[in-house]
Amino acid sequence: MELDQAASLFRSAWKQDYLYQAPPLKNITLITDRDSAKSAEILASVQRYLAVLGPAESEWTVLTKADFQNVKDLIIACEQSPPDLIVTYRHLWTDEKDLHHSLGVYLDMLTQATSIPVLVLPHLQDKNYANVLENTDEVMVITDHLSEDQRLVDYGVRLTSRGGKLFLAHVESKVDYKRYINIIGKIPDLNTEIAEEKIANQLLKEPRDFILACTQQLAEQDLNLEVIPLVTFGHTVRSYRELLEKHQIALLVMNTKDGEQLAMHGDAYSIAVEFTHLPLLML
Amino acid sequence: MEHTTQLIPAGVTWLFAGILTLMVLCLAFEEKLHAKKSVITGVTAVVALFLGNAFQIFDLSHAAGHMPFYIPFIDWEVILIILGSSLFVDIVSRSGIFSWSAIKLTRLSKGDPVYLLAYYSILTVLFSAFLNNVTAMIIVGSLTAVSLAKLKQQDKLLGFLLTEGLLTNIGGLLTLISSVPNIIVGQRAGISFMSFFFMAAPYVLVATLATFFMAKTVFKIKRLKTDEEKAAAARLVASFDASDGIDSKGFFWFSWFMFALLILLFALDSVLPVFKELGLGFLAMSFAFLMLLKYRNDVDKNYKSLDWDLLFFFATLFCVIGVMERAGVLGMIGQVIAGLIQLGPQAGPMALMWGAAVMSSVTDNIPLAAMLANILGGMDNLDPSLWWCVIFGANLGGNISPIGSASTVVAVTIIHKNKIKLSFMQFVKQAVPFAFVQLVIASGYILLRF
Repeated sequence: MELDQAASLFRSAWKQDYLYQAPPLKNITLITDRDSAKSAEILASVQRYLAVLGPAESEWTVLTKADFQNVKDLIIACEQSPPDLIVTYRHLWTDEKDLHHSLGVYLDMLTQATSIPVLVLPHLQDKNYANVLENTDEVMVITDHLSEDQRLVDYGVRLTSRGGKLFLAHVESKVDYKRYINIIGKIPDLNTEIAEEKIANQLLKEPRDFILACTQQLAEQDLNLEVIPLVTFGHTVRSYRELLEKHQIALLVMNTKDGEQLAMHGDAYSIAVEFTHLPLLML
Repeated sequence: MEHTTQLIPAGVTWLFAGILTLMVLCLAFEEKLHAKKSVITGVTAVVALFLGNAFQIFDLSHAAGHMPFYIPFIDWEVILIILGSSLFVDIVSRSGIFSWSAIKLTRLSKGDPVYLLAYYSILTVLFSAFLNNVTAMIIVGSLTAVSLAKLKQQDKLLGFLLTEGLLTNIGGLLTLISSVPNIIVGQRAGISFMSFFFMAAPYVLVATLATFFMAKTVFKIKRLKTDEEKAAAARLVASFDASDGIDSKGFFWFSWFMFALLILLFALDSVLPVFKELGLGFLAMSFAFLMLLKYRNDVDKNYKSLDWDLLFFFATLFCVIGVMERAGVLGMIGQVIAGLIQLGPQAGPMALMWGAAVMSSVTDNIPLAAMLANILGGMDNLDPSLWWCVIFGANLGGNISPIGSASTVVAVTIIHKNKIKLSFMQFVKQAVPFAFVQLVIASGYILLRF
């Protein structure tokens, strides 16, 4: 046995553990671009949708169109007394509901200029708006294993209705994997066949191990959730679309911040602009 | 091999003594020379055999026609034990039994530094005793680096790794097969596996305890204080999955069974009919081939994992020693040792042990053990304590300097890999008090037993 082999063995044996800690979701701010009356209707539908939070446990604030005139005002309003969660919908101040490839300038700023989690609902005029806001019985969390996965799963657990299904999904990019295998194929010192097999196994093993740790921990805490692991190789956005079509997902939870920078990372942005009909919790 | 004593001119003996000295110096500075051991001894063997034949120091009258006359110089029993054991340990380690044991003990410690040091000390000694010192250091040292990093206790890594490095040479004393000097000297002295164990075990126990308590004090290893610290550490080590490296449960349990059976047969070899005549080398090779059945279509990777440098080192070293014996060099050194022994019934053996320890701290302990075993083997009415002086001296001398043994070299490599600065002299400064205490205990023990 060589030194590096032993070190790899023990590094692999150490599993990222998981301990559920309910995230604080006491102060929630709903942002709309409508008047007070319409905003109250929206608030009622959102509260129904997020019934899992319990009506008595959360304090809601509503910012209507009268409360901000531009993006800057909105950011200041949010940062003055930062809520635990912002709830809003796509294309604020835009009536064009079919705008793809953008979240709208207000949401772009909210998700990138603040560190507050944002729950993005479909546009009010989206034909699925009412349907998707029924409950959070089926929630999918995209575990990217870049940072703060613990927090990501905590939010997923907190927002899934008791007795509901929590899908912990991880799609490993086949494009990236192939690229590295092609590089290894050009290095005579490295055995390409072994690398191909071992790297593929290890890439899928890590998210599976983490999901297993989550499942065991949640079962121990008796949270009455069915945890379903979905781990696969594929093209990130395409594969998530396939998974979403296969399951009736009511909320998609994902990380958007990449390390230290606040700008949304590549995959998160693609998913955010692609799945316009689905509520997204962007952490 | 039987050989007749020929009258060798003094000049020839001195020439070969010079060649031997040069080889020993090259082995001491192998890192600086960037040359592997087997190359140094291989070149020396080639030169020594050529010159020996040119000076007609070999008696070729008994040489078998089909076999080169220098082949019987090699102690094939020693080679077979090392070859068979290495292959067996490599295959068995793939089952995950060693990493499983190491992780289980890590979890048992609940992340408390004192318990962790205690368990890793025990593990190091046991692995060194039943595997080999280098494998023991690689397994325990790697796990130490990973677990202390996870526990955010990296400031203790140097102390842990030094302690483990020093304990490999203590564990290496426990059984006849624990280290190469034991195998060489034990074979020559005719010490059985169980006699060796019963003689060495009390010393190993006391020296391990002494090393542990010294390390705990010198490196300031303390227990966790608050309940929060204890809970956090316990949770972190609980994240180690002992079954992670186990691909097949069946092979895992089969490996445990075969490992235990091999140790049992090693222990009983000297009293078991049929096995007794076949020897430990046969046992080691038999178990290696039985385990190879698991990888019967893919044995190349197992053969590749063998330490061929070590095996060629032994084979060529035995050739060199065979030549030196016939050139009168060993007889000349034997006279010096005889002088040491004549210092007195107590001072003589002690001088031999401490001398062997100092010698093996600066050069490889294997040629030293092989040379001394040959010299002592040729003496009449030998005091049996002298064999043990060579065994203790050759093993414990490895703890005086970072180049004293292969396992301390591995310990220093892990230390440097973890970006901890430790110079040659810093190692010596830290290690000498430990080695001194271990040698003092060994001196007392030998004087008590003989």
